[in-house]
Amino acid sequence: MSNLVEMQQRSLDFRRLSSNLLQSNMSNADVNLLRFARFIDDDPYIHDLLHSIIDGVDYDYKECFGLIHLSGWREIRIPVDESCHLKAQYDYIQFILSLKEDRVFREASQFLSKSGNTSDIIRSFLGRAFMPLISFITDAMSKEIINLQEHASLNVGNVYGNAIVQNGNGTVYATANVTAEATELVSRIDRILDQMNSVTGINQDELDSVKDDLESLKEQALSENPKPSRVKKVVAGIRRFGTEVLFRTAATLASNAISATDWSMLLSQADRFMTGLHM
Amino acid sequence: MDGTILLPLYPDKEGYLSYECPFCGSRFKLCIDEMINNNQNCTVSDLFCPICGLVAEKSMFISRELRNAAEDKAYNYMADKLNTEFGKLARVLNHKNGLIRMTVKPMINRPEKEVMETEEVETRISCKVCNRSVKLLDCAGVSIAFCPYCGVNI
Repeated sequence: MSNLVEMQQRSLDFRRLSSNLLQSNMSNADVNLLRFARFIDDDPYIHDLLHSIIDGVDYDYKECFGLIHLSGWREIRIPVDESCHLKAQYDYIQFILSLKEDRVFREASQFLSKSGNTSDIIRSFLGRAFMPLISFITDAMSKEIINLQEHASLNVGNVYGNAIVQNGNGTVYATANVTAEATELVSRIDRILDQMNSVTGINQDELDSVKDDLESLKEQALSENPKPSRVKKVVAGIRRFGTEVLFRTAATLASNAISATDWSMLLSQADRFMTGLHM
Repeated sequence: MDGTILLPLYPDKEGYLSYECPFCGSRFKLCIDEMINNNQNCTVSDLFCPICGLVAEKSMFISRELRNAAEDKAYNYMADKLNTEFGKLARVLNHKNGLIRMTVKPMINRPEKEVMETEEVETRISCKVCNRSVKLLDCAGVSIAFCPYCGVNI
């Protein structure tokens, strides 16, 4: 499950970084490209994803980005093979970063743009040159998230009923199972309760109320006989807090103190816990 | 500019207005009520494209039709101002004993179109995290959508 949260956070980080790159201007284009390049090199998932495709591909990026049209402008000629295209983009980024001052603009100004404005020239160039790489990585992460979600839902067992077990002596025992699902829910509640200590700017009564709800949910998850009506009530309170207070108050709270993905996972785990009780 | 130009918006029957991603050009609809409540109560100013997942300032997502309508309205406002001022100047210069004559050819206003939302083939999906919704047009598949407000996969 932690892989899923990690992947969702990675996806958000990557999309934010990519968006910043595609909206670069003269003053920050070089920095944004450097940050982007470092992210795709340093992040183990993206690094492995890219290198599993481009390593061993024999293709010169100049065939894609280095051709000069009759008009004198450089042009982008996209290769049919996607792995060649990805390699060309990756190598071209490395080439641009090896240049000295105004690296991005120096390259961008060699390509024809509809506008004469420097920011427009840079944005048009970055979009045309690197959007396919960004889309490829975003899509790969989305597919991985779908896989992880599917895997997570397959692992959920309906185990909150009483299992009747008969031993060799003919004695019947009723046992209540606490599953891994409940354990994960409890650990997530603990984490969110910890994060709540650093939340500021939210009405203290609202905060205390949702903390009570989280504590109650934890209590029910640990209980041998969780009460469906009680669980339903506290989950509704937690959901209402997310909708009406947490993500309506300020973006900084959501991103810095409690992440949207953590909150999302909490709600989906609580939903599954609830479904298990009803079945 | 000494005033504010108001542009009327006509959302669809359910109160949704079209937006367009500045990166991938995908079109989607967001509920005006959710956007306005959002504006009043928090500092969130960015939107995520539900298709490509990239994020930009909210104003970057204004649809082409709305942008064109706003430009036409602004152009007409400017044309009216210039026509009035140059008309006044011409009247002053063109009095009987004046040495200089001035002819003003007024700028012609552009036709102003109202941006009306149309009902299209669309899929409405809601985010479990922030409980807000988005309508995807020319649907690319719900399984790869992102929440426009909080950016998580929905």
